This record gives sequence, C-alpha cells and structure tokens, in this order.
Amino acid sequence: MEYAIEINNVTKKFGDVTAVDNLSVKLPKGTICGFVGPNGAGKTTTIKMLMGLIKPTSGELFVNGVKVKSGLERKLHVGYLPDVPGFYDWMTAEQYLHFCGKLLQMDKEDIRKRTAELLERFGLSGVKTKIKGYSRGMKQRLGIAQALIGDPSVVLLDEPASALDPIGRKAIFDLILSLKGKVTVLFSTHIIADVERVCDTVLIMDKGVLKVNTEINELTAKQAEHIINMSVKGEDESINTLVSTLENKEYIKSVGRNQNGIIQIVALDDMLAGREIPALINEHSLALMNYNVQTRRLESIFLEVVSHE
Amino acid sequence: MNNFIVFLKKELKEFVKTWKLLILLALFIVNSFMSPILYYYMPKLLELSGLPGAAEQFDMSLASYYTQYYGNQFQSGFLALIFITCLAVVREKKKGTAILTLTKNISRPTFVLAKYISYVIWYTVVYVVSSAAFAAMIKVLINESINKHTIASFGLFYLIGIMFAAGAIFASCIGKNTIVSCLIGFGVYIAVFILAAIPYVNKFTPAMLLDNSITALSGNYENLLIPLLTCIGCTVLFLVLGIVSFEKQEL
Repeated sequence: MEYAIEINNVTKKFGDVTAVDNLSVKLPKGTICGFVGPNGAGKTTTIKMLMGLIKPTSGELFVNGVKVKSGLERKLHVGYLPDVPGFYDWMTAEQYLHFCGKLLQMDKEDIRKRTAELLERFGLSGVKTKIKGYSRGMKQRLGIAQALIGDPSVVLLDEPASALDPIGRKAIFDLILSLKGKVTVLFSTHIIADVERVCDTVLIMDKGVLKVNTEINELTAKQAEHIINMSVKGEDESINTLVSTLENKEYIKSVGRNQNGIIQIVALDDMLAGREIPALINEHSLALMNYNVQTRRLESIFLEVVSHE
Repeated sequence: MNNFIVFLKKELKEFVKTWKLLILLALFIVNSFMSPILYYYMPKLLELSGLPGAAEQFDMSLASYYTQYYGNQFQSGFLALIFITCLAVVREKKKGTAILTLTKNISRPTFVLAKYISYVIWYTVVYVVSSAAFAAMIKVLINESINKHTIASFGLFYLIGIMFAAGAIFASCIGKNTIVSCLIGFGVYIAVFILAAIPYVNKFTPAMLLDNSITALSGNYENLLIPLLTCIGCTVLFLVLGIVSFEKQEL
C-alpha cells in the first residue's frame, strides 16, 4: 500500500533534548488524523520535519512517496499551516491568496475561483482590510485558506483551531470532514472533542514518544469503560453487601462509595451492568433512586496516557 | 508566470508599500542636494566666521565635490542600504512569512536571489535619481556638465553599493534575528573601511573603487581591474554563502 505519510524511526534532538524519539507512523491516503499531545510533546517538530523545514537527527520521512529533504519543501505539494502563521500584512486576504496561487503556478481562472471559494468558506469574503488589521482568528482562517489554495493531496495543520471562535472552529472541522477520503489531513490539536468528531485515526504523543497510534473506533472500543453513578436507598449493611457483590462481578472494574453515599462503578460492559445491577439492588432489598452512565471518552484515555508520571 | 518573477514582483511592491523606499530615497536625495551646497558655501561660511585663511585652503575642484558627495553617500546612504537589506530575509524568518512562501513551490535560492535583485533594482532607481540630482546641482553651482567620465565615476561607486547589498543579504541569511543580522552587516561595512586603511592591502580591496571613482573623473582608469574584480567576487561570494547557509537552515 502506498502511504500519503510515512515516518520511519525518526528521532529529532535539539542539543541534549530529544523532541521526537524513534517515531514511526504510516497514514494511508485519505486519512484524517488527529495529532494530540501536551505542549512540548513533539507535534510541531514532527509536522515541520514532514514539511522539510527541519531535518531529523535520524530516520526518514516520506510524503506521497517522496523522501522529505530539508530545503525541498516546495516539491512536496503539501498544504501547510504553521502554529503561528505569518503573512505579508500590507496585502489583503485576496491579494495574499492570489500571490500563493501564482507561486503554485495555478492558472488565472483557477486562482480566481479558488480564492473566491476559500474566502467565502472562511468568512473573509468582501473584507478589504489589509492583513495587518486582522484579528488572530481572521489570520488563522486565512492561514488555513492558503494551505488549501493549491488543492493539495496532503494537508498538515498545526493547531488549526487555536484562536478561533466556535463558528470558525466549526467551519474548519466541517471543511476537514468534507475532505475525508479525498485528501490526507494531519492536524495537531489540544481539543480532543475535535479529534473525536472528524478523525478516523489518532496519534497521541507525549515527551517525544508516540503512545497511541490507532483508529478512533478501535481505540474507544478497546478501551471502553463506562462510569456509573448511582444512589440507592435502604439499610446501610445491605448497601455494603451490594458493593461487595458488585466488586466480584467480572464486568465491573472497580466500585467505590463517596461521602454523599453515591456508588461509583467503572463497568467494562454497560449493557450487562444495566441489566444486572438493578436486579442485584432488588435482591438486596434496596431501592434504586438514581442511575447515570457516562461512557469514557477519548479525553480520559488521553489523560491516562499522558499523566503516567 | 515563473515563480521567481512572482516573488520578485511581490518584493518590489513591498519596497514601496513599506517604509524602505522612503528612507533610502530620502537619505540619498538629501546627500545629493546638501553635499554640494554645503561644500560650495563652506568657504563663505568660514570667511564669515572670521577664521583667517581657512577659506583659501578649500579645494573647489570638481573632484573635491565628488569626493565630498561619495564620502557622504558612503557614510549614510550605504549604511541605510545595508541596514534595510539586512532585514530582508531575517524578518521573513522571524515573522514566519518565509515558511508559508517556501512551501509554495519556490526554492530557497530563488527566494534569496529574488530578494537581492529587488533590493538592487530599488537601490539602482534611488542611485540614478540621486546621481542625477547631484549632477544637476553641480551644473547649477559650478557649471560643470555631466560627461562619460562622470558617468563612469558614478558607475564605479554604484558597484560598491551592489557589493554592500550582497553582504547585507548574506548577513540577513545567516542571522538568527534582526539585531544579529544588522551587526553582521555593519561588520561587513566596517571591514571594508578597515581594509581600505591598510597600506598595500587596500589596493586589492573593493574599497579602492572609491578612489577609482574619483580618478575616473579625470579619465584616469589605472589600477581599476583588481578592485573591480574583488568587488564583483565579493558580491558573488556573499550571495553564494548566503544562499548555502539559508538552504541548510531549519525554519
């Protein structure tokens, strides 16, 4: 299989600091991949290495089968948004996109059409102000527009949703969703909900090490845990016996009781728990007053992966 | 359109849209007018100040006017050119604009060369305008017309600026920030000054072109070849070193 992005045993050191440690990732064409990790995890360094803007200490990177080399970033035909995009602020957004289109050797008509389409999509249509007068959010939207101007087959976005309001975020992730299957998108973010919403693959990185590289569905299914909060009414002794009984059930990972008397259960199978727990409550002559189930989301998996020390 | 031309056009426009052209033009033009006027009236001013015999010591030849003018352009015009050019690449690196441009199908050597050419074009425009203004002032003040020797003289002095611009581009490519780049660019300028002051060595340096541009006024083109070649050589060397260093940099 030909991969859109292939990273083979890549390590990047800045002096004594290892920013990326023996990273290997393969992303098939058309994948939407979320790249998550705390600050300093190595996400930006990895993306910059994929763009050929910085050189790996060891290992190899390929984009669309082309080996990435420093100084050859122009040959990759990749749309790229850096974490802090910089523009020629004496231009307007339209002038800037035209300039990008010309550099990419697009023909005049394509530049005109694509510019109008992107400006419309990102709410910059009709804005005649020069870029120096833009807010951070507007600059971010323009940054994404310039990454997409040449219809690239691979798009690398470093924190595309930072500085954006909810409307701007929605526009970006709707756009990313619309690219699914056609364009390979790798984007870094701190917002887990965005990854859950649009990605089919997630990479979780921490301190330069890749901790998780899997499809979202697989990850949530494999590590599915359901938090049940319930309150029961009855004899205290019966409640304690119920807790002991629940602890021995194979579909239950842990049981606890907080100061307010609420029983907290971490269940591996919410369906089975939902059928059996009310029956057990009844068997112990207790009354079920409240029963609430929350399925563990990617966010808690992320927190568990990165808060190991 | 070739992306060298696209980027060059953008650079040329940027020069006008920002303060760069204004500063360069202002300094060069001010020197063009002020330098001959001040030199012309200096003996009269000294006479008025009551210094006996001071006015007579003034050499009022054409060469003296040009020496004064070139000296002033060297000390302020070229310095402005160096500092403005020193910002060319480093500001794009710091602002992040270089990254977005370089990921749009333009090579790093093209990026640096287009920048250099655009600065040279504007320097040429400014230089031609200021030289014409100076020549006009000379005509008005001492009734000396422009001829092929004065044009040759202007041409030789112009080449020093071309070399300084290349030195500044080199400084801009290797500097990590604007201050470092400006210091390196200033270092190049000072180095030319120092080399010009060293006996025997100076005749091999580009700074000698300053002397050559004065002797050329009288049709004397002796000892021109070596400084001319070192000036062109330094220009090419600065550009090559700048491009090579920029190609290897992590952005």
